[in-house]
Amino acid sequence: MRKLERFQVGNKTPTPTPTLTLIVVRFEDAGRCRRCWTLTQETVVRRRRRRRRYFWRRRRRRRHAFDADADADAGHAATKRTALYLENVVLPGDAAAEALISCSPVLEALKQAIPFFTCWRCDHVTENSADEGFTSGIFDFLSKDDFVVALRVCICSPSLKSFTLKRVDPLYARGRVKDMTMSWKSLQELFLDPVRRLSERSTVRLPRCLVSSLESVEMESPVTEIAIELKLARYFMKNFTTLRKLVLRSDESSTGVKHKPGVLEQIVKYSRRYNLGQFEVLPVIPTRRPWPGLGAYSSSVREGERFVNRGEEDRISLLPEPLLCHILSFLTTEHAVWTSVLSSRWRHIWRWVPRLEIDSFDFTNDKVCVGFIDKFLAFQGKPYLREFKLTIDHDAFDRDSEASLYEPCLGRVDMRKLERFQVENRFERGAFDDFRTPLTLSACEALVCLKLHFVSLKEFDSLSLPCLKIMYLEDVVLPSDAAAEELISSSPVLEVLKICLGRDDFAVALRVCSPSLKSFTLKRVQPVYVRNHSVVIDTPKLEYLSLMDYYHFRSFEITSKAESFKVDIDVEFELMTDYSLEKKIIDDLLNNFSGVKVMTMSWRTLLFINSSHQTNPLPKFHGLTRLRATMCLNASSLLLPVVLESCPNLKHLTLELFVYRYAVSTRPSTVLPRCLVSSLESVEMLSPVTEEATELRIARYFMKNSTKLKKLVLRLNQSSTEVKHKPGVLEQLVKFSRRYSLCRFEVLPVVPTPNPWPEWYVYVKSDRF
Amino acid sequence: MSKKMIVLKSSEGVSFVVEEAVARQSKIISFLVEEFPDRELPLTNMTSEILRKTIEYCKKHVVEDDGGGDSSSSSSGDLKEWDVKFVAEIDQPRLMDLLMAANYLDIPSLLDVTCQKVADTIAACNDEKEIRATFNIENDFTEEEVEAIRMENQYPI
Repeated sequence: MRKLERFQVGNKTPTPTPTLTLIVVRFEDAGRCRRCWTLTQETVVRRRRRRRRYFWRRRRRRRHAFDADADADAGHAATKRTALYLENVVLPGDAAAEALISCSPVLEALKQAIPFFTCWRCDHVTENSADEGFTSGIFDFLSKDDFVVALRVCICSPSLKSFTLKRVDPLYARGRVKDMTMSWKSLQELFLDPVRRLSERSTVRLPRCLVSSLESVEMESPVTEIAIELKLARYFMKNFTTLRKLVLRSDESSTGVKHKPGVLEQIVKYSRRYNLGQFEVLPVIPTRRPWPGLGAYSSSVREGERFVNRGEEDRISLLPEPLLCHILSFLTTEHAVWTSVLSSRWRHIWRWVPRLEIDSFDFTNDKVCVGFIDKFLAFQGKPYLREFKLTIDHDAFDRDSEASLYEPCLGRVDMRKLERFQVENRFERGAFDDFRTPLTLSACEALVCLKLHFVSLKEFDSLSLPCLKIMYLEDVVLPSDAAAEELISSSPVLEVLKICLGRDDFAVALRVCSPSLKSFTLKRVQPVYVRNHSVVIDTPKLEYLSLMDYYHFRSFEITSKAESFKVDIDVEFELMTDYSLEKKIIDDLLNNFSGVKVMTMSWRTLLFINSSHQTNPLPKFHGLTRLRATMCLNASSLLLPVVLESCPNLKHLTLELFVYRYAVSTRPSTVLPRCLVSSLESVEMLSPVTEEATELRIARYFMKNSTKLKKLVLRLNQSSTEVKHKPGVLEQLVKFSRRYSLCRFEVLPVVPTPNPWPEWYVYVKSDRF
Repeated sequence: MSKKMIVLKSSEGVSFVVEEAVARQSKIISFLVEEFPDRELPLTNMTSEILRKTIEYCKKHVVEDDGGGDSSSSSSGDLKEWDVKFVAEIDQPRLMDLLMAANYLDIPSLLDVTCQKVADTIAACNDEKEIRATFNIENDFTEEEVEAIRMENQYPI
């Protein structure tokens, strides 16, 4: 390398995504090895020196080593370097960039392109200036940290005369460049192209040390609607005493139209006040291209290369990379990985999707799966991931398959920026409790949605979930009752909570105290024979409560709830041993709901009410005005009077009827329930009228007995109109409806849904929510 | 009370008069309206067709302040359905234009809807060849390279 004058490394892979390839470049000066850089190479590394070029390239996986070396060797390094090209080169840090510039004492001009993430369009403005004898460099700064690019360009080179700052892709910034600081000493020219995008939603901090030599400022991009360029122009005029020339550009069509009137005039006035020698506003013909930015900077040098000459049809690959990333974030990781083989442009994009959704079933074994997750997390760096969704599907026959394998891997997920976290364990409810995946929750400052299934949470010290709105805990083993309570209480904005108590859940007292909770679902999947659990719900904003499956609590107490409170009860009240005691417990539970206005009751719940009716007084829901009930068609004539009797003030009834052979032995009561006489206003049947036409009989029952009824809605399968029912039944009903002066009698057509299951199929309710 | 109107101008110079609430779903326009009230806003990078589509979407999604709360919640399912229909009838190049427009104007919901549609199209493909064919992506890998990438990804495809 000692005599080498020119050295150029070009990587023509159009894929702009940074690879992990590192290139160590060492500069030698006057025959001595002096400097050592560690650079991450993105696509192109190009360095030029007008007189000498020394390069030494080695592939090495080293990232550090730079800062120390840079300082130590600064004095000797590259004293004669006047031209430096770095295209799409990622430097290890801002400090490195700073050192790189400050170590080149004869560097006279620096031009910099800051493509955001998408870099296949390259900037070649510097070609000319290099020939003119300037030292120039094109820099890419790409900080992958969290998409937020904090850009700090410190140009401390005392000889730098020209600086160009250019953004290749002005379209996609989305406010991600948050902060820009520039400082220089002897700058004479300043080109600002990216001003608009950089500053739209961020601040451009301009140099603090005023330049004593800045003579000309030119803005290459036309003045935008926001007119930051004008503000900048004013800034320059005001602060730079040596300024002689200021060039602005303005879209021809928009002159004097878009901007606040007078701003431009004011600037002209300013320019006079500050004795500006030359102030120009150049007209620019507005680009007719639909997307000015796209391809605008692809230069002659790169022409002929395949990524420039893409067929026009391939619109998708032309999208900026963050957009592609966004598209891929709607896919599962499996699908996203597919895209890596589409073309070189797509190769690495999936790695930058801030979302991981995988199923261990797709992998040959758990080790491979864990390895994949680890690699993915390691690539992205730490606080980057927004969504993590893992489905663990254990292979019971694989001896290496262990839930604990995932523990260290889950521990590596950085929770700080994570918004959604979901771990689902498919190997469930087997005989092996060991398959519950252990998990430790850590600081989750951004977490909005937490869904855990069949995991065991470890003890946590202090937990803060300031953004958590949705929490599903299905079959999750918590270290203690207190931990469960803390989990809820440390989520100040929690709105939806679903808890499914599993077989191994030893929680004795469940306290749900949350000032923000709106919806709460409590479920128990399997019957438990010990009845000493208790539930306390203290949630002043609770609007919806759902109880599912098996009710086994010694006590159930709602201390606070919202004004509009809806309840959905679908539980099996099994009376097992101590009949009277258990009966009392259930009555206590139902008493909690006596004031509730809107309720949904399942078949099971209604059956219980019916069965208890035969021996005990009926539970009464005095506040209930709107009820949605599901019942078996055969039993409807038996159950309806009972149900109506327990809701004395019911106004609206919605019925869902299903066909099931349920033997009805007792005769329906002939006593008219109170609500029929005094309050019931509307009845709606959701299921279409069947062949047996029980629904029509029910309709008649209501029309005949309910004095206040105003509205009755039936549904009829479209295909079966007038075919299967006895002719005339419907007509008779219509006649009836007139006789009883019903305001509204509707028969809605329903497109029949074919039963997807074979006839013998017995529907088994899912264990899941 | 008459609603404030905003004039948006497409690249062809066609003006669209839009209610302010409708246009304000774009964060960029919202910002511009504050900076330059009573002014025509030129969107030189948007064709009339795309701008019309964008406005159509914004009109549908505008939240009426004076309307009751429950009317909007009940129609959220309908809105989703409408969105699906809205993107379903757009051909691919126009979908890309719309996606870029949503990105440029900063309308997150429209961006999500369009991206979702593209993602669905990708997911509906059976293999990478089909994706390439659907989007006219030119394959610049050799068979060996593809194999190497698959090995490197560690993900069974």
